[in-house]
Amino acid sequence: MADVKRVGDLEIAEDLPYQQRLWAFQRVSWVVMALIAMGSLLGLFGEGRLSDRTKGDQQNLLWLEYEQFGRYHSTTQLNIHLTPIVSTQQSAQIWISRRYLKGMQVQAIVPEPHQVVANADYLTYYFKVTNSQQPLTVTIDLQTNHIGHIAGEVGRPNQQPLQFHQFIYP
Amino acid sequence: MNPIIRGTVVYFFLSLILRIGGRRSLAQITTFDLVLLLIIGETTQQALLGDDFSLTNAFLLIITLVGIDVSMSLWKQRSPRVEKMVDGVPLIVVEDGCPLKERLKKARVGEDDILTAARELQGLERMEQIKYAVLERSGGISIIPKSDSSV
Repeated sequence: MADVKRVGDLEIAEDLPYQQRLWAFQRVSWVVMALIAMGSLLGLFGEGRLSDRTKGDQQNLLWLEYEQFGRYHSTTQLNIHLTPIVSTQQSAQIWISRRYLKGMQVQAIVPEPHQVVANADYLTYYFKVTNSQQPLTVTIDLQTNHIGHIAGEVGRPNQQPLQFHQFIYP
Repeated sequence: MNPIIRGTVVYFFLSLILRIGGRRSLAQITTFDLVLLLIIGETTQQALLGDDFSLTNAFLLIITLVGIDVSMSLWKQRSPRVEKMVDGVPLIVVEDGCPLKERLKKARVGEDDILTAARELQGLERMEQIKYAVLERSGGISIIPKSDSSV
């Protein structure tokens, strides 16, 4: 039971100091809510400038575009850019760490790989290319299946692999 | 995520948000407020259930929500501090026919809201006929009219 006291003719559990504190708390909270909303517009919770990241030098043979922040059970995109290697091969290959794919469910890969080879730590995707002199971008649509920090590793043969980190909100 | 955790988080988040939103007097609830509440309910439901539409999930969530509610009411009974935190405190907004303007402003309640409540609840015509108006914990406004002799 709250403390009932007498105010004029009323018996009431009024508590002005508490009420003042509550109003102050409310005003601070409004500012916090506005900040959260602004942060969200900027991409603090995914889909925005604060969230867009690239990894690897664009002059390099391999570089990535991904989102730093994601939300649980929503979709995110990973763009893997391959710059041409002089070769006569009609196939490009990339591998992705299985640890990453455990937390992310692949929904679609564009272009579709013509072959997927699994080993203990990696899945290697093979793509047919008509002209290996041209850059290739592989877009992977992923659904987040993991909450918290997740690390990914992407590589292509004879290249330094790229590691990247994402944070998935619940 | 475990439904018990989800239910608990949603319960406390909602109670915090409604606290922050402040109590608009019930007399002020418009059609739009009602629709807004429905939308909030709908949004919450999605996050609560996730993509698990099993009966077990629903039962677990209901048990969680009702359980927390019961525990909170027991805790409130024992601790006046918790009661204040959860339910807030009533606030006198009119005293002897004089509206306490500073309080009304901070509580975001207009004098017209008080007059509306006075008309609806007591059939009063003017502010001066009100002895006390109290903004209750529930958000409603209660009116105590001056006794006939004093008007």
